[in-house]
Amino acid sequence: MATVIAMRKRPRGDPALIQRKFFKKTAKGKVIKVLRERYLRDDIPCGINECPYCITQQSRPLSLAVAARHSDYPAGHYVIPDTNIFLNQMDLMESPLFDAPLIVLQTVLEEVRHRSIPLHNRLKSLLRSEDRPCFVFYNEYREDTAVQRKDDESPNDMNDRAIRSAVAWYRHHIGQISSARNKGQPVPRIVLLTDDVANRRHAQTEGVEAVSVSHYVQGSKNSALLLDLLAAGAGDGDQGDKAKSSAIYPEHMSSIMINAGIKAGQLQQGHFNANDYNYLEASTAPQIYSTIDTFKGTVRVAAFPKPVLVVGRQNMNRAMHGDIVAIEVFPETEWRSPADAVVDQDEALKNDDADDTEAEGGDDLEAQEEARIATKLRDGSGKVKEESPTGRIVGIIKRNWRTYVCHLDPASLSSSSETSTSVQAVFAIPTSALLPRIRMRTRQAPQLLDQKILVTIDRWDSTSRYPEGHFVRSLGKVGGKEAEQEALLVEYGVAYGAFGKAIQDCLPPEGDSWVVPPKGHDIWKDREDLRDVLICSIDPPGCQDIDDALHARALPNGNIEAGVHIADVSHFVHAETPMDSEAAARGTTVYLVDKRIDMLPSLLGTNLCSLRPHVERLAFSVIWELTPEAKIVNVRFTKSVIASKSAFTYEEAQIRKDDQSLKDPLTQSIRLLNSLARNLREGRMRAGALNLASPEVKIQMESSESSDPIDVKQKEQLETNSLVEEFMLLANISVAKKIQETFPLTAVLRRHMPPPTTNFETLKDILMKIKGLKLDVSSSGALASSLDLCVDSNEPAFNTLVRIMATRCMLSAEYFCSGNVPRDTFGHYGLASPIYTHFTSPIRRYADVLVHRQLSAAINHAPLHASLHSKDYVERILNNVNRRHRMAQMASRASIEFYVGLAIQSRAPNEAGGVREEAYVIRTFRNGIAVFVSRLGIEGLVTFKHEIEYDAEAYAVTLPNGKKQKPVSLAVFDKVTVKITVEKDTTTQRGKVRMVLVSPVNSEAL
Amino acid sequence: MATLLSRAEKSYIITSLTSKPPLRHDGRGPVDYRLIGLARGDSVAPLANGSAKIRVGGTEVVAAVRLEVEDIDLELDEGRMRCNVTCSPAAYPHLSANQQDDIQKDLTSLLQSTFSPTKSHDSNGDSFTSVMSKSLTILPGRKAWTMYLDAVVLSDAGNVHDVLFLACRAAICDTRVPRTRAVEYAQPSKGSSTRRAGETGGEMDVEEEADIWKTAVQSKRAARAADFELEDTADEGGWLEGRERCPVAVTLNVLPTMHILDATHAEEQAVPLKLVLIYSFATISTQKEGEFMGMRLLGPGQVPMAYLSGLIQEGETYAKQLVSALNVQMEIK
Repeated sequence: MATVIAMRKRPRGDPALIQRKFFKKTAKGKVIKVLRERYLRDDIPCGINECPYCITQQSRPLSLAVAARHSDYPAGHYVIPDTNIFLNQMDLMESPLFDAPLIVLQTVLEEVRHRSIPLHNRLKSLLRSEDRPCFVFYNEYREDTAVQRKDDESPNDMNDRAIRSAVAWYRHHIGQISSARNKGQPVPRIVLLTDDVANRRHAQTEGVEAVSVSHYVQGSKNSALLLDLLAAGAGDGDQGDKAKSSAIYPEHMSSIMINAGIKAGQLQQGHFNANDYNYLEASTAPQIYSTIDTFKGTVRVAAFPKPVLVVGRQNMNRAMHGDIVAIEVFPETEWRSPADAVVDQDEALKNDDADDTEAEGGDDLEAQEEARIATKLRDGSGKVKEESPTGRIVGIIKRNWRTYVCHLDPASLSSSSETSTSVQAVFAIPTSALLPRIRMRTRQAPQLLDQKILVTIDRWDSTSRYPEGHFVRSLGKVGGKEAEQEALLVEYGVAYGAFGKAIQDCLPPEGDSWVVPPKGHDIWKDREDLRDVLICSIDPPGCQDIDDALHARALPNGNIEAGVHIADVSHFVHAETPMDSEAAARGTTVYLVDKRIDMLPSLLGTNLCSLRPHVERLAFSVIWELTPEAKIVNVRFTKSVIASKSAFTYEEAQIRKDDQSLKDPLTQSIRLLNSLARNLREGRMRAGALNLASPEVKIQMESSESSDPIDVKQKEQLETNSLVEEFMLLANISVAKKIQETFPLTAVLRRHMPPPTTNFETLKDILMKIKGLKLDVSSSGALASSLDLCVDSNEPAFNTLVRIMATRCMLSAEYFCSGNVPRDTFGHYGLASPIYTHFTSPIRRYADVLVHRQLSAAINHAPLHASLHSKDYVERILNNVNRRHRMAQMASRASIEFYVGLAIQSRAPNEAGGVREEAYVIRTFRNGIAVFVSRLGIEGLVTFKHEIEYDAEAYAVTLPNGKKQKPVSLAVFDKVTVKITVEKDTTTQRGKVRMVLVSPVNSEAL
Repeated sequence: MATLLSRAEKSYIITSLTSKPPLRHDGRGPVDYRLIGLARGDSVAPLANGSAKIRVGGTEVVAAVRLEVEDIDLELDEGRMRCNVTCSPAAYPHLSANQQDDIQKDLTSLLQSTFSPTKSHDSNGDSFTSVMSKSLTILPGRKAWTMYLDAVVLSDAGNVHDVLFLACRAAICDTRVPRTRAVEYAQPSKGSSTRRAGETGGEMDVEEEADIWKTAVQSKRAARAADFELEDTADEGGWLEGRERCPVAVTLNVLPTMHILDATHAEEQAVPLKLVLIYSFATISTQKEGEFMGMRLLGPGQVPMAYLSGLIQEGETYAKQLVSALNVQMEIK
């Protein structure tokens, strides 16, 4: 396809028009001068199909024959939005209801890119979409529309002028087109869409038609629906109002000041973590934490070992969970200990009125709370708990705003009649308790009342108590399984769309009928034939993506050959294909209770790469020669072809192994594997591996077809579970060693950093004070053995409880690129292995795919793709995988929680009864306790309305027990019985698990 | 052009110069310059912060100024200047590589010592270098622009010193320093922070809310400032302070009874002594005397001391004329 482009000579004598010079300050603080040359042309097309003047090979998306859909422009029109429209009103522009033909100017496109990359990407995909008439006009390259900066003109003014000049040119051009075609027809109008009053005024004087967004939308066909999409603050009247209201929050510092402060060491930078027990307290520092009882949070920053505490709305200064913030740490005399009261946001904020930003309702409570804390600090000054660094947030470096799943606060509705279509300011309550309520205006409030909706935050001014946002779309009815499921995926940023065509095209064309070709085919090159080996797989019941299989057989010399065979995903997924990039972006398969969101198309995951029994499959094998004591004699790695003889569930394998009557070779090999696994496990435990408990529960469905849960079961651990686990660990460790040897700079490894000992301080203190037990956290081995000693003969669950609490003190494991961290930090703390990676689940984890590629190169099977030689590339990919992994975990946990809720409901349909369960106290607060219900694997909060006696030192609360009896004291680890009900909170519509203490004291009265 | 002259040729040139009236083979008077061609700015080196090209007869020099941000220590809180002269091999085809190196080093050291004298030398408070280097300060004691002055001798047809200095002067006068402002983090006032931490008994500090965030974006002053930012990335910036003081050189080719200016290559060979005089002028309009910045005597000839001071006086007059001509071209007031 030859494209003819007429090259024009560069005009001489006017360097200013063709050269663009600017200075740039680099990250290192250098200033460089950048020179751009542009070649102006007179043949940049206008994109209008009927235009006889512009020559272009491209298809022209815009046509004069567009129907008039706007009351103001009966002859048809084109919309040219300015930059701020895209920056502020992207949801509106993306809406299928907003169907006006768009002309996007190059100036606008570039400005959007400079201002926000995510918005730029959205704009680009909007331009690509085929159902919208959109055209990009390269105005800066056309002679007639190119502008030159004037003296004393700011870049913004210049861009505005460039936009206006392009609009003026279009107006002229379209006049020419229509007069060339047909004299009599009305000429479509060119409309500049801008919310900038000054720009509109300039446009008027220059004879350019310009309107504001709200004005434009009011006249368009679907105005009622579109007006909701309008981001807050659009329109003309708003400026005046804002000036009147006084600032509630301190202003944020400008980014340059923040940078200066951070460089000078006066400010710290960190992630803001809202504290979910207490939303007024937060911290920052290497890490920041905040909670809501008096608005608190924490920020973990590098300068302090402990997270920095941020207390109070003012100090939190509009930071939201996940934002990267700049924090100023107070002098040490003003440090405080993390708050010990629980504040329920819903309670504290009940009185706020969405319409009135200055409502003082919430303030009283907050003020009380703050005063209480203050007095408390004073009273107990002698025995104040250890203080945390405390500070305040002075600026937001990066917002973590995204689309939030919310529902409307019915109390904030002023008129709830179904028919009302007037605009109302309402509060949207995010599902996540870490977020404040979002104020938004909508015409559809009554219809949205029982819906899960998506809301985007637009801004949070210092004059507004709450962030302001707008409605994006509705997910469905609250409590509906579909809506809840989708809400969950949105909330955790899981990409759940179907795989696109480009990705499907990467699959083998044979599809389902793909089989391993007969020997002699290229695939067999350097591949071992292990089809005759007795290989089997052991997985949970119902597993479709079988990515590992095992075998073991006795060797004549008395040793044992054991093999782990992993699906050869890298044979199908090649680097830098659409499928590869999609998998890299997804990072991991996400498992929800009744849904699996695949990382790879299901043809691979559940068929071609699934090591099903009795089918030949490609595999990547790790084969050891082990002594009967499970010492490795040697190990080799090879690509292979296997045919699994059987796919067992854990239970089947267990039964088979235990059934002494069975003597067939397959059973023998399971026994062989089991004895090795036991040795391996012992070896690991000796080396100091931790056995950490996490509350894993299983949702029991009514039947395999129905997705209605009926019960929750604790997951059972069989011997065969640990059999598979041990061999997977062994394979991962062996592979890690190999790829680290071969690619010391870019090997994909996994590590688990030892937790800082400060993390354990509270737990140690609790154990010491309440149980008189010592916790030695000096090393993983020491911790493992001291955890073993944490037993209470009266309370068998105590040990598990301590383990669960210890697990929470740990850091999470992460993938990393071996060249980017010091060699001595490679270790895996939990497994007590000096090196570790993930090799065994390439179908559902992307890191494993990379490891497969590296291992395959390490054994000279295939050359390593160039990208895997780049530290930066590997690091970037792994960062994403780490993040996705975390999100996936949270999503599946949330999914389980949701189903636990459903299960509780189904077990106790009558709300009054609820479910009674045993629970253990895990934290105490001034006005409540946090309990853990081990049978359901959930945590809950029991709050007391009345003041109770609270002893922070002893981690205990004392509850009055009626008038006659003695008060009862409750401390951490005490067993209680709680009544669990799921109630739809009348104000929030949130399906809320509510726990009430039943024994030793009934807390309903408290 | 670059051929070496024989004794007879040299003698011919000297005889005609010393005759009355003096004769130069291109018909100029003894103190006439050849035509001076000047180009500057974007047409020379658009990526530099300032640049110029000077052509005098067959002698051609390009000079460019590049500014770079550098960390400085507290003692030296001003910008510095680094000079470098390169000779194109075509300029001296008859010389060996080593000899060319010598010329480059010689010219470099002349520039460096003129523009960036060592501290002890710099007694006069408002010399060109000290004024200029003040405007190169970004954050006092922390960051400053270092000025790299690079000159390339493209061809040498005589009088390379004058042309080199002219090119450097033009480039420096063409230089614009990007405007920066210091960025400082100001500690919020004390009273308000204690209040936030919880004051007892409802007594509240009556600190103005706005005061907490009093910020300081001050230009050039903030001693505690940690960083700077560009005021306007598309703006080329301001002229160097005191650029009109930038020096010029005048080379007097001295014969026993007279001297000539702007000698051609042939004349340079014939004349036994060259006197390079470097002057800087605060402003031309006021009849203030120029500042005598340097002198070089080159060649095998001799000159009596008494005669020398007269030459220096006359050199100043020539230099003043040269500077005013250049200032007109460069639009310097």
